[in-house]
Amino acid sequence: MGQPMIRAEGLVKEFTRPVRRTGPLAGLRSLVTRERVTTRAVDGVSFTVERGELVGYLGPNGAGKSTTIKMLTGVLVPTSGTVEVDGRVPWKDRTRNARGIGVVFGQRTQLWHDLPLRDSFELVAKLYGLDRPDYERALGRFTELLDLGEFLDTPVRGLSLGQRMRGDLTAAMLYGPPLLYLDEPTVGLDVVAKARIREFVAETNAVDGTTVVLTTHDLVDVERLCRRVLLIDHGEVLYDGDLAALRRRYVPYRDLVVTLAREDDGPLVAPPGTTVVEEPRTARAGTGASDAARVVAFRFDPAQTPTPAVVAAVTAEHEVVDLDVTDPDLEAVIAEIYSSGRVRA
Amino acid sequence: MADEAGEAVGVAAPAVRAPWRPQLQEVSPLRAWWVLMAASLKVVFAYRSNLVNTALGSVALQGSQLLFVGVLLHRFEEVGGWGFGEVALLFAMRLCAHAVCTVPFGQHSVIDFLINEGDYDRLLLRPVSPFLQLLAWRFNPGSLGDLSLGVVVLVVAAQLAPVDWTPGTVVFLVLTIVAGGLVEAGVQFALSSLSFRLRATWSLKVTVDTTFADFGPYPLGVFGTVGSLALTFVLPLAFIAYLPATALLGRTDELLLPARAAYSSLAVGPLLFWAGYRAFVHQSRHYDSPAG
Amino acid sequence: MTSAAQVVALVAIGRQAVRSALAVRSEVLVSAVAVLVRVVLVVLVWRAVYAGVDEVSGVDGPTAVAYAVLGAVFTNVLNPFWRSSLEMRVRQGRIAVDLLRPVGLVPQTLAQQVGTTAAAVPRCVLAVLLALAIGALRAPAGGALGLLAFVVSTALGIAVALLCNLLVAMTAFWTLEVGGALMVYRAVAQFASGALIPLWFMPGWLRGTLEHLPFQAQVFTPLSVYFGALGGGDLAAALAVQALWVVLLALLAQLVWSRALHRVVVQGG
Repeated sequence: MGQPMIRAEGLVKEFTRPVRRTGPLAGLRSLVTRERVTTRAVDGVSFTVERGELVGYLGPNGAGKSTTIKMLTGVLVPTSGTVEVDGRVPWKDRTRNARGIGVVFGQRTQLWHDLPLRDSFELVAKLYGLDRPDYERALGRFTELLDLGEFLDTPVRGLSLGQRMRGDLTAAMLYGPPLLYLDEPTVGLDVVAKARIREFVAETNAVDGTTVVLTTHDLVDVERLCRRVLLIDHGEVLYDGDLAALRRRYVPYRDLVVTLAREDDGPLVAPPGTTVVEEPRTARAGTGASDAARVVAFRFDPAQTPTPAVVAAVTAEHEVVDLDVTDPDLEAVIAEIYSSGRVRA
Repeated sequence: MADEAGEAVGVAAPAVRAPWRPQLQEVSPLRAWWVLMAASLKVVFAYRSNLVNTALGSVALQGSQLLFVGVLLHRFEEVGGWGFGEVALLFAMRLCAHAVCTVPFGQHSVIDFLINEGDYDRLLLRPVSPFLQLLAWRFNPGSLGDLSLGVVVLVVAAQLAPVDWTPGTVVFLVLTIVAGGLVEAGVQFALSSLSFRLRATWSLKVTVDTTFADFGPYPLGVFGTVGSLALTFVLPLAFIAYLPATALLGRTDELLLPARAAYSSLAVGPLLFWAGYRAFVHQSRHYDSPAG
Repeated sequence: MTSAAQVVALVAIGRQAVRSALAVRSEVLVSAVAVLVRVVLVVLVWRAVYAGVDEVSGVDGPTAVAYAVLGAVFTNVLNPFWRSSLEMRVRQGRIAVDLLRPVGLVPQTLAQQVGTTAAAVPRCVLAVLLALAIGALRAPAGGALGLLAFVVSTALGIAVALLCNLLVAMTAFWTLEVGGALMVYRAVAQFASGALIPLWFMPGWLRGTLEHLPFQAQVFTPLSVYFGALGGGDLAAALAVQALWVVLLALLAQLVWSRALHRVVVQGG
């Protein structure tokens, strides 16, 4: 594989802030005292990202995600530890690093607010040293991919959030950086806009071979795009690896959801290796079952009891009109990991 | 790296496209600054009424001091031994130097905002010196007010002041105004650099700015020995206009310093400017991006 | 909401303004040092101006110096460089939230301004003490009664200044480009109020003009009272003029406010 795209080792970032006082005369008291508190936002994070990977970097609010990204992009200087991006130390070699990365923050645009979108692209092209023919080619390609044509000449402040996001993505990819950081790229977008952004990210990764580091709270983004995820909380890496393995390891169950033919509410017989989980559910449309039909789930560990065996046992015991096998959604998996605080895979 | 692309991720391959990896040219800092500045100018000139408003605001602000000095001299005829024409020249040189500071470098004033709102992050993500990006962040139309009023007053004052204008003195006047602007810019850069630690330097900068504006039009002698030294070596007001003005007006004998000091601003200006820039770069290492 | 509850709410807003004005230590220290330095510098300038001169326009040196000190202190309190909270809130589109509060927006804004003004009092006390220490200031003329008249006149002057600030801030409802207007206002107010130089020194035509504007009621009138420049009848007349300005400006503010409200309601914030 050669040199990895990103190599972080024992990355630590501490912040020191003055203590804010409350209570009577707080203002005056903070004038004369000088109390400071140090917090560790990132506490010894290590990982590597190979070229061409698309990695989801996940964690709850305040977990240290943004701080890590800021160290990778050269915005923040690490307190200790090493970081190399494409063979460079981002904060030391900031300018060259900046030419090799694209960064998109969902919460904050990097476009020129008062100028037409097209002007922002031209400025980016000039600042990154993209020559005219390349610029025209790139703009043509992204205009087509992201359907920018309609609002290229609209001032950025007049764009909808989805349009702005597409503009920001274009500005970040115009100069063809081999590495793209996306921080909450779909936050606040509607379903259609989200899908379009995901499609673009997938294509950028597949066609251009752009390495992508994606931070998001939207787990659909992760399921659609990432094969590998990094989970971080309290500044530490909790899990680094395959998305499927993550599911298997942390929530080793599967649900067989059945809609019963009769609305009897007596106790159900659970076949060996399964437990009955009764949560309010409604029957799926098109099954002919009434809205009041009883829907229950049989939970089992597929490693212990094969799925066909469970299906056979349940249908032998009960008369069912519909059945469905579901994996727990990623949200539940992640919630489980955060709440148990399990360290390192 | 492009050839490794296909194997990495199993997303269904769309229609065949070539990977996008253009060759980037080097961009000189000066060119980058100009590209950004041109964009800022474009914004300012797109909002013409704001341009006029803000420029008028600056004219009024500086003009109120001019009016004050005018009334004062109307009643008292001289201040610290300087008559109307002399004070007018001093005022005009100070204001022109101020414009030399504010027209190209005035954006230091937004540094608090950029740091506290996290917009400084954005400067660090671009392949251009954050300092240059700061200077080109937005163009302050008020500086055009400073410049216009300064030039008008300078032209008038040059005729009222007892100066024998020769090509030599005119060149000295222009150079010295530029140097005065560099003094002010250097001081403001140094104060801006404190923003990385203090978070709020706005009051400090406004205080220095108004001190320069309000007490710049007086011959330094009025502030007494301690005051003169303080306004020379603590807050370098003397270098902005007073010292070179004594050279032009033949008043170097009133200086506490050797007469040569009247020419020193030509060297002090660039020196302070560079020192202010270095202070900014040095302190910017302490930048802690706000959370979120 | 009862009027007592409204007063409680306004006091809370005012206190919050005091707190936020004192929140950043470096800002507080710098503002204090700034006004002290300014006092020293104006004293030096005016003493130099009066070097070898006894009296100009009927004003002697010590009076002119003391006037300049108080002028600097008044400016520091009345004409702060920062923008009114109202303009900022209109700009950020938060005005709709403010309108939903049970206390009127105008009282909210005034309470905020009073709070900010109050936060400036400690540093101004320091400045006055410094001026006394360097012999640049003396007690007000006319004993206890003179002091009372000065306090009344100052209160009226502050009211005039707050109302003027409010009126200027309300232009934010019509244009988002208030920055320039505020600068012009600040410059005009500083000069026309007599904070920089007393109206005594101004040429007759200029003084005549300024006496018809509300600005002189902010600073020049209280300071004239302080120095005993106004005799019994003139004093009463001056206070009456100040009071008249308060009433006129309050009515004008009410009118502008109802127009602004109409604008917000009809066109959206």
